[in-house]
Amino acid sequence: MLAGKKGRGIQKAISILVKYGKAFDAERLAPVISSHIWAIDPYEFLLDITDGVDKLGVGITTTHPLSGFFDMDKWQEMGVPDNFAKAEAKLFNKRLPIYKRLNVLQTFTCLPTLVGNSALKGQIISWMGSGVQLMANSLIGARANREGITTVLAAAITGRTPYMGLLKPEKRLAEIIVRLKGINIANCTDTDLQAVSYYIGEKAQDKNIVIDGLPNNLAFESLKSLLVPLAVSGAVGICHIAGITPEAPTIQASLGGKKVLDEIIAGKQEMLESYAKYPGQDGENVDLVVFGCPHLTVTEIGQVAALLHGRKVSSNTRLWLGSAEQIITLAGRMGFIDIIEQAGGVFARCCMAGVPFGRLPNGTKTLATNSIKAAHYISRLTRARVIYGTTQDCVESAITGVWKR
Amino acid sequence: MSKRVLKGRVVNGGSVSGKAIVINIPFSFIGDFDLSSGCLSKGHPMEGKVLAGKILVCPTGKGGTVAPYIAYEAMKKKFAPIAILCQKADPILALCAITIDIPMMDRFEGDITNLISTGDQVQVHGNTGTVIID
Repeated sequence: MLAGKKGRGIQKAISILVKYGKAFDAERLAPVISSHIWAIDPYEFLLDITDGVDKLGVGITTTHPLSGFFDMDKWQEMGVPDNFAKAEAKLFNKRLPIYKRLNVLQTFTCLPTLVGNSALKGQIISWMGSGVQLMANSLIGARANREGITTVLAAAITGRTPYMGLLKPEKRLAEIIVRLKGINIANCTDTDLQAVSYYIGEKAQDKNIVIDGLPNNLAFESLKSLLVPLAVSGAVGICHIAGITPEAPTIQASLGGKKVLDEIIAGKQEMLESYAKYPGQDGENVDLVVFGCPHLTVTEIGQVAALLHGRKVSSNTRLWLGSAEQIITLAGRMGFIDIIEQAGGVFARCCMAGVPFGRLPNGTKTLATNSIKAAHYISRLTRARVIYGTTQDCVESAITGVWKR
Repeated sequence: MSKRVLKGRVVNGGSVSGKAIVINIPFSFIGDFDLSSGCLSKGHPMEGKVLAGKILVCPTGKGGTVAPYIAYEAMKKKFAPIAILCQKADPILALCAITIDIPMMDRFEGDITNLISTGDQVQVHGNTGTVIID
């Protein structure tokens, strides 16, 4: 491949992977079973790297969400600025035929496991998205590195990735043990769990962790809440949960007989500190409420529908919900979508954290979200003030147009 | 001042020479760099400084997995640095250099952000693993 016998695109892709592997002392490339790319690659780069490629090198390739706050069918309803959406649409339409030609599945979601891109324990995958990289390692036991947009595309094309980091069993062991103090998980909302996780991520940085004291019957939505913020405030690649993480039937197994490097204690105080980073003032106007970072599951859509049933979103406030098309279809069959849309909510398939260049509707001063990941990125990528609160508080603020806890 | 020669490890090959810009904290193309102006972002300690045509010197990279795409767009707009020298290459910054194919070196003896000052004329010999400060 490196000599160019398989074409210029494959040569470019493999040379990126070889250089990258060398920089991190990988001794070889390993075969990849599945890839999850972000269909926002720069057009010329995409043309170059797919030159002469007529078939991808992996079994299945899915796409990450549409670019931040851009959904080609929903942008007008969402009220995002015309100039932004039209420029995004132009780029999207230019790139799409290339992804189509290569049989990339247009899933447009950050939760590819929910829409058919499944991997199993021990399988090597190359996936875009810090949240899903972490969830694949921690919940499924598939092996993913924290890696960037160009190596993921190169892996999809060649079916190879450098054998390094979290792909190696010995590099997956927990280094830090996290103990929860004074928190009863059974009484926590999913936003409470995200708040705890946001604190742990900041402390753990890029270390592998194991959390002690969690029940093994947590719902997927709670696990998602516990995991995803670890890769937002920090750069955690694997978080063992004894009894859930396939490689970690016990805490001992997650450590592999090695000594713990450090211990992190997280309690109620630390949870409240995370909420306090994105505070709301009672009585302040809320222009926009954002749900769906990561994308909503059908259960979460059902919860919002139950809160909104028979009510209307304030005429001063917008309500956005992000999810995958397939999940939205299922939620529609359950009657949830009608309830939410009749109340004034808009569903979209884009990145609800606005990454990388998302633009908010003109005049959006304050927004509220039940995702600490969205709060983190939107507050950094836009000028809006961001409030982080529970799903229930966010729904109420969408209805009244005013924040109240 | 006489010439100084530093030895490092090559992350991505190639040879260039130019003026250095030294950033003393970990750098990311997403968050620290404004693609519309080519300057370091609002709020960055070196806000307003440009990277175009310079040799970027920093301790390491950080964050955002979409950064190589921003680096690529920066290169297309002629806003990108021409080489990167750092103490320890992190995966994302390394991937930025590899994606836009500019020389990058790391693992110098001593702290590269102290050995080089902003404005120094620097030659990067990415094929032999040497850096010459004129």
